[in-house]
Amino acid sequence: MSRHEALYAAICKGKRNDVQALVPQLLAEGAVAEELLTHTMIPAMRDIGEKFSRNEVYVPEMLIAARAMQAGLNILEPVLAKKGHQPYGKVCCGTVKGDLHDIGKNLVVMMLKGAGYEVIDLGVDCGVEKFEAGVAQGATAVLCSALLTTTMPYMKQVVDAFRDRPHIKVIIGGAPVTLNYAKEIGAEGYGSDANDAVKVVERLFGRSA
Amino acid sequence: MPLVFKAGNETKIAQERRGKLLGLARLAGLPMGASCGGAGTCGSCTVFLEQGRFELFGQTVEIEAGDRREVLACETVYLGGDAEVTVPRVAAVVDEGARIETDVLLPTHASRPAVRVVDVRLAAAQHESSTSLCERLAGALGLAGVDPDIAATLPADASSAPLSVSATLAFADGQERLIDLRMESSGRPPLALAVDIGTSTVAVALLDPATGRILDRAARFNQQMLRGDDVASRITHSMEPDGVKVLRELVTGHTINPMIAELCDRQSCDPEDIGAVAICGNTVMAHLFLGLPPAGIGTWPFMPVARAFPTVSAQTAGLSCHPRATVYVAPAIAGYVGGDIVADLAVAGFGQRPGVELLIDIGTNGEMVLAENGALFACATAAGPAFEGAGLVHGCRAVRGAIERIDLDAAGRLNCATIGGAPAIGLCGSAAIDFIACGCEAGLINEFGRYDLDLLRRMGRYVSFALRGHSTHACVLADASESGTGAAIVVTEADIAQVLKAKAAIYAGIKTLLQGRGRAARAIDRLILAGGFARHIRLERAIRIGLLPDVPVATVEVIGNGSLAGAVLALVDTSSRRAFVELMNRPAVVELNLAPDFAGHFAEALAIPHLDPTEFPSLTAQERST
Repeated sequence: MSRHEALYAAICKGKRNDVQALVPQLLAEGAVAEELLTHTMIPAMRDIGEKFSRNEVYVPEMLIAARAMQAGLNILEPVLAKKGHQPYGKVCCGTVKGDLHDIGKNLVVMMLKGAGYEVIDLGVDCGVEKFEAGVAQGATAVLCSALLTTTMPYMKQVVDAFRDRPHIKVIIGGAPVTLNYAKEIGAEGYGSDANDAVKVVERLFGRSA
Repeated sequence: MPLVFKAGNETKIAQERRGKLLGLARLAGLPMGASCGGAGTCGSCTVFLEQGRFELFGQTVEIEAGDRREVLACETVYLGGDAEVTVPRVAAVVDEGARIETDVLLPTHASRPAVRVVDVRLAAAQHESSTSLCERLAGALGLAGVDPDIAATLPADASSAPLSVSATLAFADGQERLIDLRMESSGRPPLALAVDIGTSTVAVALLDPATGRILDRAARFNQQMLRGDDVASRITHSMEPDGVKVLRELVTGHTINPMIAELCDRQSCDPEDIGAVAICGNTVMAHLFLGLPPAGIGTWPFMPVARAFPTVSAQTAGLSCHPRATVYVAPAIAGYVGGDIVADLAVAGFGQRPGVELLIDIGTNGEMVLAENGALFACATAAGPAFEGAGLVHGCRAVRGAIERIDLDAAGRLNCATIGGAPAIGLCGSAAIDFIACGCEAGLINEFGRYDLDLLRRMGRYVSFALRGHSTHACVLADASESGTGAAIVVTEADIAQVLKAKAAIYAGIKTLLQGRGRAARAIDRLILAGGFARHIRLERAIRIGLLPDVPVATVEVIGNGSLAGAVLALVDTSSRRAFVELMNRPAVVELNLAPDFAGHFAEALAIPHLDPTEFPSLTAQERST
């Protein structure tokens, strides 16, 4: 089963309208929803993500491609659910308490969905309770982002809250956040950009090479 | 056995035997940008260790010649002995030849100067009535009272005899107060000082408040920049022990006072002739100036300690003026929309006419205000310092040698003009906008900010630039042989992406405010651009890249440094301070991150000029007609 070139290209080029037209059309023509996801759509996002990490595409194109992917997923999700499709894992994402920035966090959410994970988007200004609520809904990884140096310190509180539950992995990221900071506060993982976040999650769920 | 810094053609020697490289470089005369304030996260202080002994994260590192290692200057400590460090790019914090906006355009106003001298004659005291020197003075001056410390400076025999005095009155909190008393007029009129405290640049104007005449002006980079480029890093630094005190001293003692000395020297006057000061700045700047902790502004709900500030004495403020000079700080609208925006609004006469007006302060914080038949809505977009040249590999502030204009002629040749005509040392924000606009027109740059590599190669301007371990495509603006740094000046695709993110933030803010009122760009009757940077943008270029909405250029008014103009206004007509108070409470503040459509508007505005061509109908029409 090879990938559908037109859909693959539409996602890579961020052509949201084309994706919204192609997905129902392909399903009507008999394409299997799960195969569309795993053979065409997820590879398209992975391709874009890799290019982003290599500075071959930048945030503008990545964001636009992720939106096109999301548009396709929105159409596919009910079909997948009906067939009992299982995501590779369940995670929750939120911007920490006191911080309202969400564009980066939204990109991570889209990239993770595009990589086949179920993502609970906790929104912004998330206190520990919101992350706890995500875990209560079955998430086994907690992704926190902070965009301000003034809100970063809250990440330590999140890490501390889950310290007694080592099976819940806390991953942090955001422009002012560094690998050193992650080590300093004892976070399980650090994502340097949205694509890196996906790689960290894949590694934690035992899916990467 | 010194530490030698090499930056392009320059060599500087550190005098110290030990210390963090970032600080040593600054002391040696090579101040480097530190956007994050030395936290180790922005990469702008990247340097190369060529040889020597250093300490990095607690470990001693010996570098031999040929063993070059890339590190962050804020994280690396020099341990003494012979050493050499290469500074690959100097994000100049120097002021030489800096192009900083100090033009002042005032609206119509009355003459109510913030400081004036009156000569009065006190009649002889009546022996029967019980009175005091203070009451005699207050009576003669028409004041409710005077400061006994000042009255006490009069000679002892002044108590009851008739007396002629020269009194200096300055305005504070709604009324005048006596700040100085002499037996004879000094013959020099009292002066006033207007100050615009920007996050990046501080501009001052020395004026005669009675006539409104500006005697002189100066501008300097806000020395707080050594503690971070943006307000968020300043807030973080303020939270360290003595943080507020350090930051306060950096703006008063190291930025404003040296400018006062410079101006008074040039004008042959005494700093103590300055009897009134007015300060306009964003809310964080106002807090730090007054020594108030801005920490609350750092996290949601972004609550400042105060929005209205008391007028303090120059002595309290730490300014080298007359110690009792009154220092007025313009009130703020919210944590992220400050007194500088209030000043912009007052100077532009904003929100007083029917129709739709939009004011944008194009700078690091990207604040904007929408007026719809007098109802005001404000927001801040945190566009970032890309327009100030920061974050670009060869970005620099608007100093001598900065490329400020770029054109592509019909033959496809790139022409760059620098400030002062000096050899290029980098490019500033206005040039970046020019480059992207004319690059798109010429087909060199596509709608996502990517180069047409074939065209770039044919132009002979292609270069692959190494950036943090990866290579990126770049266009050469000036060869190594013609540049002022000894290295080629380039614009990378990563740079273009940075500018696109900044312009998309501003455009998304505009769209969110307009859509909140059910309006489109064509509804804008009047678009006002404020901020020093605004003066240097070519409007057609800004619209071409999608930074500004598609409005006729004739609807755009550039008011330049409205913050400084507002400070001048507050000094020449104190009744304008009432207008400031009224303005501070009018706008409804829109929190962009909570507006559901903001993220979508931002994503769509990332393309040049926009993902949706119907947003820019006049550009699409132009394309169709060519």
